[in-house]
Amino acid sequence: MGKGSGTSKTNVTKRPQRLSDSEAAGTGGASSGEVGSENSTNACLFQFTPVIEIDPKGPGLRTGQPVTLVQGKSTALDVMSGGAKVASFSGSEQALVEQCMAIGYVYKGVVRAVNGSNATCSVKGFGVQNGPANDTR
Amino acid sequence: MGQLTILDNRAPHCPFVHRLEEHDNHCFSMGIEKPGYEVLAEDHPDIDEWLAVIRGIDLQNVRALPVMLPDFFNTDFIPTIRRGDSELLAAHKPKFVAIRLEDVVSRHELRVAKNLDRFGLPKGTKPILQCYGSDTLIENLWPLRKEVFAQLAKLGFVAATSVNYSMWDDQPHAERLINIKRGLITFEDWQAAGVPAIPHIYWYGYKDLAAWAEWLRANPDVDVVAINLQTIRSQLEWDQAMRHLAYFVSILKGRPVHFLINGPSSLVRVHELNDLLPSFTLSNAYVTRTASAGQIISRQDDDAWTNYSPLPRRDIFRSNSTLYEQYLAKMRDKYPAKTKNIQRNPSPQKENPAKP
Repeated sequence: MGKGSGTSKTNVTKRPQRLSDSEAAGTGGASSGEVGSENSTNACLFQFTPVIEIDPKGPGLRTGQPVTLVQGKSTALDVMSGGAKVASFSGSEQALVEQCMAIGYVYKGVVRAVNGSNATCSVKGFGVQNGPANDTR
Repeated sequence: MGQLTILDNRAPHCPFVHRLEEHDNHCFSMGIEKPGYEVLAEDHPDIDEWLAVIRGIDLQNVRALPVMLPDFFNTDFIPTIRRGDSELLAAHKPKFVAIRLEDVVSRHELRVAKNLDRFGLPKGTKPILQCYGSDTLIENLWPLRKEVFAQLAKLGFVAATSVNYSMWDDQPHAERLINIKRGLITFEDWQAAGVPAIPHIYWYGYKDLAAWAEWLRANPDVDVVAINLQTIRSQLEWDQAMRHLAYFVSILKGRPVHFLINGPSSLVRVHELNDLLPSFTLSNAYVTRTASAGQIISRQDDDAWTNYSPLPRRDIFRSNSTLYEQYLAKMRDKYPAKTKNIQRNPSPQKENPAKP
């Protein structure tokens, strides 16, 4: 039950949150507490090279393609690119990544190599900072 | 199979299929959306990042915490008041009043009211915050909501609804699925800010409602949900909403939920809601709007009308509010078996919602 098309839609621009990989990032996270808060460094701002399983029904992958990890319906994380699910990730970092996602971190990167049904990526954690991505929008 | 239109073009790898009605093939914005309103579609350049920020479209990764909500279960009607309505409250002391987000947060600068003095709340009247705001306000709020919620949390609201990020039936489904989840994320944010939170339920079709029912079953601490029917004007839209709500009640399968319904002023519609919902509280701004304009509401059965009255506005407000309170109480008395039957495993942290 959405609004009918006749209702007004004017002057509305989405203001995404600003992502940052700096130590100050992550304060805009959700409610579950801070992962690694006992350490001086932010445990969620790590970089890793996951091997992802290419979705045989997906559009395929190429080297250099941007990817983003997104929580989906299945136990593995969805790997999204260009609005489509391209692969799944269920490697050893999944648990930490999900913990960090729960408090607002985002993981994205690029495909480094494609090997048959798998691909290796370089993925980095970003904190969601309070504040718009671009105040001038 | 219906006739194809330019929008009936499902992406070959649409990631949202499990949440789509069969007829919903509106994957792309196609560049033909109304200018001035940015929509999120599968061809939006930031779609992946939006999905990551909201932790995907599925609702299950948002968890409701045990919360002490006020006793809505024995409250039939809550007037929505606006800033400047303080004189209306001089002769009537509602148990609760609803205050809209845009009356405490400025639309562009997001300036938050320092207190609720501007509303002139009588002692003992409890304010709840309805986060049903203009799109400009709630979109500006999104990246800054945590700071704004932290400030709002100091104003003494006894409960707040999650934000109703808009959905239009003619938009690509990514927009509405993301907005439904954004709304639920703000429920989580209210919890984090320490304000008792009420999830606002928005939907397009049966699949969305099924997802909400699944979420409610997974979150037994939620026993109140908010639904905003304020934007429903035509009978066609109303009838569809009632069909959807009937479906929702049926799939809840006895899972007790109290509804906070905002918007309807027509007694015919209120009556329909009473027939449909197991337990609900109505709120609307009609009683204050009419009172501010010197219009007193009268009724006979389900028929209501207004006339100009020379009475002081505060007396008109009392009369208008009392009309709804009495109308709803009368229906409650008429159908005692179906009213206020929320009673489930009361935890020590909750007020016992059962009616004595």
